[in-house]
Amino acid sequence: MKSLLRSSLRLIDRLSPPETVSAHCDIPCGIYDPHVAQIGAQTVVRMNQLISDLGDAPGPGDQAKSAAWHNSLSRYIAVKEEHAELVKQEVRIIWGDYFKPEHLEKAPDLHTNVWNIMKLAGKNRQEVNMQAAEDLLAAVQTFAEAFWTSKGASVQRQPSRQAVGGESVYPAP
Amino acid sequence: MLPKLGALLPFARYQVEGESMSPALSPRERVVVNKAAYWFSKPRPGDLVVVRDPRRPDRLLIKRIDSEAGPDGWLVLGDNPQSSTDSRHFGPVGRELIVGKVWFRY
Repeated sequence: MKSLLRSSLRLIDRLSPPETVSAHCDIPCGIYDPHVAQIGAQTVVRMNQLISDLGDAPGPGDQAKSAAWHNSLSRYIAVKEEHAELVKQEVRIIWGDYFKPEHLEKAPDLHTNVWNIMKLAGKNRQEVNMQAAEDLLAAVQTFAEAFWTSKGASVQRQPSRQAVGGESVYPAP
Repeated sequence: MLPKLGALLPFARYQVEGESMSPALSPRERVVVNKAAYWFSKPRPGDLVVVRDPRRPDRLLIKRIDSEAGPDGWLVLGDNPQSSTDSRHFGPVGRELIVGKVWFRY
């Protein structure tokens, strides 16, 4: 009897999954930092550079060379995908969990900025496109500036000192 | 079709997510909740209940009634305080936020 009830309920669950009830902890730890998103966007730019540096595929004659070329290209594409997605995830969390309505007074373009980041990150997954990668990095840096400004910090841009070149945004000490 | 029909029934199925009620309830365990349990009687300390998060009523939590707090509020706690978000964070929950009492696991 008990197992009949159980199996019937499981069958119903398959047709219409039960809602989840949360028994977990969402500590509002209050620790957020847009730096991971910035590194993600810089990585997307860097992968576009590396793909461009790779040049044309070697001819079919040299199999080892051809395999190495395809292996490198595949890895650059995989990392580009991964980091564009990382940018989306990091920005979504800060946007959704950290920013409050009162912050919008200081950052009235925040929602448009986030929307652009989502679109640009998607475009960077779909395409090899240096302009789109640079636009994504610029949008993420605007987001980082809005974040630090909302905390009352002033922002400074420094040379990134990374292989990718360009600048990184930091809160001023 | 089924969820709409389900909303009319005095019981509902839920799947547990998270550790705050273990070992009483483990993650992924499924329960049937009696939504009529408190139509004619009050929640009592020790009852396992599904409640709405007062800060975000679309979010459902599963907790244990700790005590009555005021005329129409109850304090709810997780069995594992270190991994639970509960009345210590959001205060007492009103009667209207208590969805029902856990009836059995399946």
